[in-house]
Amino acid sequence: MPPTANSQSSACHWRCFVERCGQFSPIVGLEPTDPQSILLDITGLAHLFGGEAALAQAIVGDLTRLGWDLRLAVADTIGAAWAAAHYAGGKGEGGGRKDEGGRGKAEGGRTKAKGGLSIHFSSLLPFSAFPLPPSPFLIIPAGETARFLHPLPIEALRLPKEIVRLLHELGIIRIGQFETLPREGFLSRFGPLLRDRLDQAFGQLDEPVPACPLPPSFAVDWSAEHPISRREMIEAALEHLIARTAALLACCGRGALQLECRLECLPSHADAKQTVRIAVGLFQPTAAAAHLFQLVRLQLERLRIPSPVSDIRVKATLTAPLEPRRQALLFDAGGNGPGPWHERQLTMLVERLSSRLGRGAVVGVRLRPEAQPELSWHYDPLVATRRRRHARKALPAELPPRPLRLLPRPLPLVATSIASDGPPLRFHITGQQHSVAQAWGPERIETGWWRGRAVGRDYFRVDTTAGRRFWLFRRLRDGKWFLHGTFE
Amino acid sequence: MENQPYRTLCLEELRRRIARLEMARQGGDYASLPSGCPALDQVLPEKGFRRGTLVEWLSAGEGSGAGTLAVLAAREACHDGGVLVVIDRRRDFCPPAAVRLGIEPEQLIVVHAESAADQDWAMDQVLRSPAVAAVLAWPERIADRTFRRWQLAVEQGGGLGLLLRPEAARADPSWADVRLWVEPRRSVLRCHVRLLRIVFLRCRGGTVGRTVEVELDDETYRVHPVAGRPLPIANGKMRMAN
Repeated sequence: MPPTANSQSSACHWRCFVERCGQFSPIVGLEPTDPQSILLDITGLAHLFGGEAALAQAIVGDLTRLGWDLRLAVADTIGAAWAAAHYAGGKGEGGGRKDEGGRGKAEGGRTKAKGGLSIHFSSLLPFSAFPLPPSPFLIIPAGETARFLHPLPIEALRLPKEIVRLLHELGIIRIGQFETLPREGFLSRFGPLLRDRLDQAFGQLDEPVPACPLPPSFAVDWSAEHPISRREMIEAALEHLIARTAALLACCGRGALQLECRLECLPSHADAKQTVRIAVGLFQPTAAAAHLFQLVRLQLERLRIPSPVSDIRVKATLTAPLEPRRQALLFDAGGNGPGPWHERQLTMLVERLSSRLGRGAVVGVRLRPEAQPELSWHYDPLVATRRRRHARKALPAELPPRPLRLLPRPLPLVATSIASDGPPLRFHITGQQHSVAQAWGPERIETGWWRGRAVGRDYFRVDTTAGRRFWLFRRLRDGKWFLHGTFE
Repeated sequence: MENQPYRTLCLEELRRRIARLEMARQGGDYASLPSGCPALDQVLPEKGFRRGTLVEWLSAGEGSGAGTLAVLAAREACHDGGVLVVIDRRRDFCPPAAVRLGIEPEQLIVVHAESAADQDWAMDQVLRSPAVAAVLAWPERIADRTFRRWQLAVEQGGGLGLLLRPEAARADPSWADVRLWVEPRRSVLRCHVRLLRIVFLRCRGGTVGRTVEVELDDETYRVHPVAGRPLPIANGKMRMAN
């Protein structure tokens, strides 16, 4: 569903796009004039990408992969870039020139003026919802801003609707008409905004990009001069890179909750280039390089490196503030519970276990008020999760008796009973016959119809003649018996 | 016949000496804690399980009640803080049952090990951690060297290692301080009460072969000794733990 302009999800999308554009420019901002646009300051950057056209193509390619249409323009000023993105190519009055990118413009040609790059997302509609011009980007060569702006409608100046309406009543339709009007005598009657917008568009008044603070990137890359294959050397390189990443994190007062190491291996024989990925999750954010490296090494020693490693990238993919905070994992019995040292020990244990066994293998328990036994709790991974306080849902004052071992899938069994709704007299489990000495029940559980799979069961706790206690149920739908657990 | 009292006295004295030697051999300076079963505490030499040790619960099959007794011991271990770590390789541990037995959900960490090697490694790590009050696991086969490593690990960590094992493990050597055999008896008592017979197969510093019969109340999860029953010696023999 396309987000609306005012919805919170739309704001999240814009924020996401701003963060994504951070890979192309260190200064990324949001132009608040409706419709909203993203602004990038690319002064002196284009040559890093192979020119303005290549840069524009890279941005378009990257963002369209996310599934959104966009129009993009490169110009000397923010005003001109915004006008080009919104009104060139027929969206406005149709008078805009279609200045397609390229033209062999030298990359250094924007040094004297600020190079503004305006990206306009077409109302954030998904693909094919908006007819795109032949090329999704437009480059206005340096020094040709005035020539480009003159035929455009005055709406391209980012003016309020009232001023636009007033100017239309006076017969002023295009930007070029302002050239023939007396600046002091006429323009001053519309307030300073019109004059400023004109000056900003033509580069006579400086306009900074209203930069949004970008989240810092905690990533370190390393390319080997000669690919390395010895494990000790790979470990040494990783240790060095993790130490640098940890230093970056510590500088910003943040700690890693998830760290990813990517080892690019040389292509071997017919295989393409292979990437070995190591991801470690942490219970608490940390910037301790030695601890992070220990967790990575726990995984590395179980991995096979297929061919020599040429590049390594270490990145903290999930971070959180490094403030010392107490997690509610350790039970504190009336304030006399274990102290911070024990908590640190537990944190390190959980991280070690998760690093080797996997994030989903070390879990905490959250009980749920569900009648269906196998759904009455939920496992939450303890590492690489931003702590969320789950509202403790109201559980019954006393939990019903449940077996210590509950089969994930009930086991069908053959049982004999006299009454159609009574307990079994005997049953077979894996070829062994059990005779029932005592039984308690039924505990009827009928639930789950809203999930599409209604469950109807009559549970019995049965003691066998050997004294063993099982938890069986009869499925109400067809009367079949199942073993669901054992009271260990 | 006249030498019988003297012989009994000698045996008692020898037992005490061996017990002193065994207790002195134990590493760490940990206190003992109640086992969750008062009848067992009466028989155990330190009136409970000692922290920093392994306890094995053996039974002939599932549904014997050994797991409940182990969780009750874990509850006592977690009483002053710390967590209970459950190594659940079969993925059939039911946390609501443990919570009903008195374990707080916040105190519970479950580890799903995929292989026996992962389980052994996780046990070693968990037992070695001082933040863990108790560990509950269902290892079937334990290599002798692994078992010894676990014993050293739990001595270092100071928790309580509770191992639920099948009957086949009875013949295997053990590094646990206490090894108990749990045998469910057919109960003719009131509803929800289970009758369990616990035999001491091994008890460092204590007497081997002693038997305790207890009633486990499924409603209150309290364990009572069977009224009026003495604590007999199994098979009429009395052995010291090796």
